[in-house]
Amino acid sequence: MQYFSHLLDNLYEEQNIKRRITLFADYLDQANIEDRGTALSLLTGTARLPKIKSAALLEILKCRTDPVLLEHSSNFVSDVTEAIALSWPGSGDLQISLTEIVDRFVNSSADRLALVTKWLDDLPHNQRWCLTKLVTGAMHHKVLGIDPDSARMALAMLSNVSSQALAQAWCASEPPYRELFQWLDNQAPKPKSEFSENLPAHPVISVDAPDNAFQPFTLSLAGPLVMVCSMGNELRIVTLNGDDLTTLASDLLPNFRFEGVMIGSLAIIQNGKALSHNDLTRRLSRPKPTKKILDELPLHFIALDYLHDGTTNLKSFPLHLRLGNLELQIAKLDHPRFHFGPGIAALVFDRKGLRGHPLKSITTGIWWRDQTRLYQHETHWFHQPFPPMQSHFILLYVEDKTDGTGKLCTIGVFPHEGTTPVPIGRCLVSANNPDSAAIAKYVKENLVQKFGPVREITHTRERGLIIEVSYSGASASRRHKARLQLNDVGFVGLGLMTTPADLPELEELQTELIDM
Amino acid sequence: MIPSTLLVPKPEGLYCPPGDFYIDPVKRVDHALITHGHSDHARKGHTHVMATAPTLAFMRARYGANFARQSTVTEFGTAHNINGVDVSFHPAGHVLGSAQIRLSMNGMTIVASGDYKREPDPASEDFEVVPCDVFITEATFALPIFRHPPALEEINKLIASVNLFPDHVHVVGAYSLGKTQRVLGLLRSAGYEKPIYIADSAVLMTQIYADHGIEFGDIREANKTPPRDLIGAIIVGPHGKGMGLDRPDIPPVRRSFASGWLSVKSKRWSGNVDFPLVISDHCDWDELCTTIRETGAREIWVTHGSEAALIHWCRSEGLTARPLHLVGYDGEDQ
Repeated sequence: MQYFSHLLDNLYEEQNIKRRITLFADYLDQANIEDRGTALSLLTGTARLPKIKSAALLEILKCRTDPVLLEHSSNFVSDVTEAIALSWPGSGDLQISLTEIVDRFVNSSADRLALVTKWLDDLPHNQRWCLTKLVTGAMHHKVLGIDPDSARMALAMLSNVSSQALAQAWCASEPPYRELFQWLDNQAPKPKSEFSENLPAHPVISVDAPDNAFQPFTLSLAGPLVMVCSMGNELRIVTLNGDDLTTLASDLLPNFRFEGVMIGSLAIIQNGKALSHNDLTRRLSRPKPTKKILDELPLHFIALDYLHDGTTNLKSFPLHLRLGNLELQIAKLDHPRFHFGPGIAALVFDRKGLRGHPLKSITTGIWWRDQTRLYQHETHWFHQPFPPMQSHFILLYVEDKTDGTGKLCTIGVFPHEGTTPVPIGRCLVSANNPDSAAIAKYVKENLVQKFGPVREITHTRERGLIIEVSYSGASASRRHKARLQLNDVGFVGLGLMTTPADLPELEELQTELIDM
Repeated sequence: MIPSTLLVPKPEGLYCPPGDFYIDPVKRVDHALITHGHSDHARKGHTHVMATAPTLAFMRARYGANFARQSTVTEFGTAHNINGVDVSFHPAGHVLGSAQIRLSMNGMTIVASGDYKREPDPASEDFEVVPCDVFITEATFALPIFRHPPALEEINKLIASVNLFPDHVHVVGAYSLGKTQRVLGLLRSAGYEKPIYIADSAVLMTQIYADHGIEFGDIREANKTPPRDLIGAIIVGPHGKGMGLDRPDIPPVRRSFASGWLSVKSKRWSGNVDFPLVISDHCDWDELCTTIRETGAREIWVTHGSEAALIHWCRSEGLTARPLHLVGYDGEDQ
């Protein structure tokens, strides 16, 4: 528990992914074999723990300490569980392993609260925070936890195992991953399951020019590539990064009435049109989607490759044969939520070529693949992103970033016949950019007013600083006055030859960007 | 004699009417007694200043030779009589030369403690309990949630991090007077023998420590060190340009900050901190309570910090307690 508590203290502050991985690997090195698996399942969010409410702990604490002091304390600490951990009186010297805590906590049913109270009394003061986070279910994936990819990298740092073998063993062992760590310690054979043997290779995403054998294959969509595996009793859907989406995609999965393994993309499609990537994130970010969200945001699967048809391993067939089988299988499934991906593709090279296409709003580029290739471990999928659009906009506000890395510039457009521009996006001008000084000079000479660190500068139809930016597209926004925001805005340069009067107007942009 | 005839809070600071002097005044006055060298307690421009030798040295370094028209050095424990008031300075353990000021007249004793800490510190004198009738205490960390871990334990975390990330340079943000030297002293106590690098603005203060016999071994200036020599090194001092981290080819940086406030994680004081070092120059809750009991004072005056909580605790102990509502003592020394 001492090591794990120390690890959590470290992970809470450390933002850098590489250092988080090193910290976790250091922990795995120190901990005993049981705790390794328990910690891994806790931090990657695969452990299913019961929870107790922090309010219940607070009630107990109120009887043990001065309520006035407790109120002062919890007013100061904004987090209730932390206030409890810090205010708990006394300090013990209990030595207990993480696994023992988790096992006893899971297996006790009625007296869970009493058990936690006892631990809070007996544990050293600096380990209580870790305990309260653990029992209140606050080991949130993003703040304290580690994503499966990083966890696997930490495991790879400690052992000489290939990432593919590690991924297979990982998927074949259940939390708390005892078999996995026994295998890594050479104490047991490699864990195996039908599912893990069919794990797909990660596509090598490259933007280098592919050789002649490669052809445009399909549209690449924003959002994860996933694998659906329906083998024997197993029915799972996993992203290629290792996130298990099985419970999240509960409305989609029962419709997979086939045996086999497919790779594909996920999309939210409504009335024949794909909704934005934002909506897909909303649909997949909740542990348990509400009925409203399930109805509003129907999840669709766009199949891209076929690895196993239930009886035969298709990895030894060239791509065009696999796709033929895939198309037949999708036609046989005949369900409105399943689409054959390569059929959707048309030969397009930029966004304009996708005018009116149902998947336009989430398309980021084109996948290129070699139709004659067998399925290999290193599958080459070349990704050709759509070229960004470029346009001139007027500069409205400039804010110096506090860490000195650059300036955040808010850009805007004029509504038709309007004299005041409305914000439409922000871009970062790096401090190293040679134009940064020119912007700073303009801000100094044309300052209108200050809002904290934000400087408003002159921006009228007659006078203003024009900058050229690149952007990947635009989407509807409820936060912007323009009801439109640019996506992935990047600074290109100063538009010194352009005057505010030459700029495109808001209405033009709306028709050009959203309705095309 | 009632305490308020000996000492009263005024807008300028704590004032002693019979002695006609102020303790840590925030405005310019004729006679000032200064507890320690932090700039919210030691201000420039007073006519006469009395303080310990290190405190006067810090003021001279910070404000120049004309920081006061006249200054009087006092030793710990030496009794002075100022207009009939017995005055003596006693170690407070906060930074080098920090003092509690004991006032006594007609059988009434008041101790103004300034800022103080109880934990042993290789870079400052140990706190001395001074029995009194009225104890004036700070309340910077006066909430039961503050329980500072042993500082050596925290320093070992820093050394562990240096071993775990040998290709990084570790930066410990620390106030130039007191905290920096404490971190240096702790690193040496923990057995760290390599050169330690300090920021520009901490150089002068560290030199004054050396002048008073407190040395920290091989201390170098980070700004004047080639970036490649900083790989695996520790830099201590106030964040800013003086660390020389804005030069090209600086190795990857792991940033820390040495402060008692970092013990509360959810406050996220530490947006720019990769790992916290909970090292404080102030007492935590338990130490405040112990100190108040040990002084034997029946009346407690509480200044800067979470006064309400400490006053509530004093009253529950049967002591008389009042807040002083002095303004101007926050910020940089915390």
